[in-house]
Amino acid sequence: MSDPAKYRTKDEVNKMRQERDPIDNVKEKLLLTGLEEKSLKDIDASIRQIVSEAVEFAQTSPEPDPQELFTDVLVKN
Amino acid sequence: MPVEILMPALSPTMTEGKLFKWLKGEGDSIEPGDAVAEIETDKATMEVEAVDSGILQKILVAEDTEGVPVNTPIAVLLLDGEDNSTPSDNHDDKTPPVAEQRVSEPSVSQFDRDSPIQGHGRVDVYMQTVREALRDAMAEEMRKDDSVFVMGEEVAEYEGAYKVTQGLLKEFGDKRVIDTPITEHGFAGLGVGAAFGNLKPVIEFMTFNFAMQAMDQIINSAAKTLYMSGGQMGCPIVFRGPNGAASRVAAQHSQDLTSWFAHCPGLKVVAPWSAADAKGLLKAAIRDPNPVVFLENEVLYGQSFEVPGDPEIIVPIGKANIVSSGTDVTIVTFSIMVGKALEAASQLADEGIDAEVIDLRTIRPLDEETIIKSVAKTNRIVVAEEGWPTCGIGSEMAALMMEKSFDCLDAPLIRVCGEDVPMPYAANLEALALPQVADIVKAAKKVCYQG
Repeated sequence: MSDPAKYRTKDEVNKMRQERDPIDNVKEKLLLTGLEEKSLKDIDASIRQIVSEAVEFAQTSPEPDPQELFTDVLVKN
Repeated sequence: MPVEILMPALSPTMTEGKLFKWLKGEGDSIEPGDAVAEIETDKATMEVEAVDSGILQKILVAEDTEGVPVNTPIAVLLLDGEDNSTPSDNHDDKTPPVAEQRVSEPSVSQFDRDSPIQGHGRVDVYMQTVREALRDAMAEEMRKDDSVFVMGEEVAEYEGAYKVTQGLLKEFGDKRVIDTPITEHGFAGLGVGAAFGNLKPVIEFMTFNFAMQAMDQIINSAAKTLYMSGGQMGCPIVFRGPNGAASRVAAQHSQDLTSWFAHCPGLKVVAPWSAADAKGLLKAAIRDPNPVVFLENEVLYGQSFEVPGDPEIIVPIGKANIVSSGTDVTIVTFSIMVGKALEAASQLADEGIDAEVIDLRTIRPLDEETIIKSVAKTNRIVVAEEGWPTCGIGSEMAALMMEKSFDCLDAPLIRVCGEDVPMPYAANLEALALPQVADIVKAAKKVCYQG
């Protein structure tokens, strides 16, 4: 949503979204293999859960210790 | 758990907007992609789309509300299979998580969108932001020379990701102000080809972080063709855009790449600090028959300085500027660090140390004479830059001092640089990674043997 996309018509955006969304396309393919809609929704829900927990963790964690400034620039050997 | 629908940002500079209209009501069933509301900014009206499927449980912000900050919860969505009785009133007493406003990106409303493009007539001196000064430099040179054109991502319709090209499409049309696809290697190459064909392209990189995609075009094509063609074909091009650390955008989008470009023969490298220099040097860069890498700074875009109105005033490439004269220590710096060096000089003055601040303005070719003369007077030098220390501009100054000013020095040169790490995201570590005023003060005192 960071791009107001004034240079595209709404129809063009909707058409691409309906016909060319790779996630929707994979979903269609998975459903054709016999996978049930519910199992896809369960995957969505578990991903949403992971993301919410990550956001919660990021927002509630204290800032790192200043000692961490140089951590992980290179593997130590 | 019900999810909150948040006020979205329609552009990188948006901080608030108007909730214009609800397209769904409480109790409506919603599928991903459904438009739930229309929001409006000064630039556009857009639909807010649902990401999840469920029931619109509660509307938190009524339609026709103005000034809704980005990231404020505007509605609550009950996800499929959730109990409708889940309480959602806890939003009322919660402070909305207003998005942290980046100081480095002034909102569009802070920028006077109606300020006329200057340069049609002579005005002595007026206050102008660096952003406006850069725009005027391009506009003036485009009026003067039909072969000058601007190309880059979002430079035309959107008027620049940082609004530097505001008004240019309207005045010069889409033949000379050209939006490109997101391919730096592609449009930098198109620009280089146009320059080979005697046009004068100004290629905007949204930031110089993305110019790394185009390094082959800049270094191998733009910088070397005059030499490899035995002087038969030159490349009068300007690559411009913000370089250096921004605020809270982490390692890949916050770095000073000045020394990358300064390393290479065949390029000129310019990095202005003030609006007057930004304007005068960009005009010089556009007129220059050589490829010029023009390094702006995102944090400086909104800062105002006095700018001369005469469109014929240019600032020559290759000339440093003594922004504050002094006798005790020379502080050599450029771009955003000039402001910090001046602040340091002011603090040093309080402690009886009279510092001279030199703004390099051009990194390649380097104005060695101004630096050498200054050090002959002060006998001490500190170099302040945002970039990393290894093979940096400070290292180059150290070499210059060894080669040409060794007998003048009363103390070893000290480099004040960014820490030798990728830019951290965490605010406290970011501050530790960037060179601060106190670091310059400390270094200056040390070379004066007073600290």
